[in-house]
Amino acid sequence: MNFIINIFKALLLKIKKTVWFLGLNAFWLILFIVLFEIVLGGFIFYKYAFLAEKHRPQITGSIIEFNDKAYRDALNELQAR
Amino acid sequence: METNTKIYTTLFVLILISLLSVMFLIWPLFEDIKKSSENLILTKDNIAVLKEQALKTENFENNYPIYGPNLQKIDQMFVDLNNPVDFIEFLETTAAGLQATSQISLPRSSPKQTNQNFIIFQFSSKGSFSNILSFIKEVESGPYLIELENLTIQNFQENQTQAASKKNISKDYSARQVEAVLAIKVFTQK
Repeated sequence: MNFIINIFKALLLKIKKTVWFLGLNAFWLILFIVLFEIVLGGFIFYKYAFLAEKHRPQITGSIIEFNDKAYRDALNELQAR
Repeated sequence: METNTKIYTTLFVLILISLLSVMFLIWPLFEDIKKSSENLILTKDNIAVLKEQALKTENFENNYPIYGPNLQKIDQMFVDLNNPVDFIEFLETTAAGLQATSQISLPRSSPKQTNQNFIIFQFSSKGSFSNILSFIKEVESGPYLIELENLTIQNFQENQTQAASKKNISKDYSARQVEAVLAIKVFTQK
């Protein structure tokens, strides 16, 4: 039990130190967060707006079209009779 | 209030606000962006398909005066699935014209059920061998699009002896009375 409490205390101490460190370097932290936001925003814009806009439409569904080959085959068959 | 308590409370509140904003504001917004992007791509694809379809239809419409009369002729080559009487009459008339009897049996399963574009008629006929051959030729060159699936021909004159039969084969085989059973595959209109 003491072992777990010791680990928890050590973890809490680490967090405190980290937060303290971040607080001491608040300017750089804010600068990093702003840069991170810019990169993330840019990535989202590129992936979901720029690429979607640039997407070349693909004809994936089936298109009903006149089968010219079948028509000619049937016509040849008809003329052969 | 102690300074430490103030710090912890502020920290807790800030973390809570950050988590809640991520869960209920940023993440749904991100999902919306994702969905909108996918919808945009799908809509673009659909528009392209519709444009292509419109182009093909327009081309067909422009060429229809050329295709039209031939299409009607081609259409008549296929048997009407709901009413194959014309085809049956054609078989009977052709057989009667060649002095051959005719017996037609329709398929048990409907092509609509099996999603086929053809039906197979069992046709049996009795007549001279040459007339049966003429019948087959006439049916094949007739107005309907057919394919002979199977043909069985057997001797019909039972009272003849084996020797006489052999003699007849060498002498006048074409005049022999035979019974023919044909499986005729007839292509139908969809």
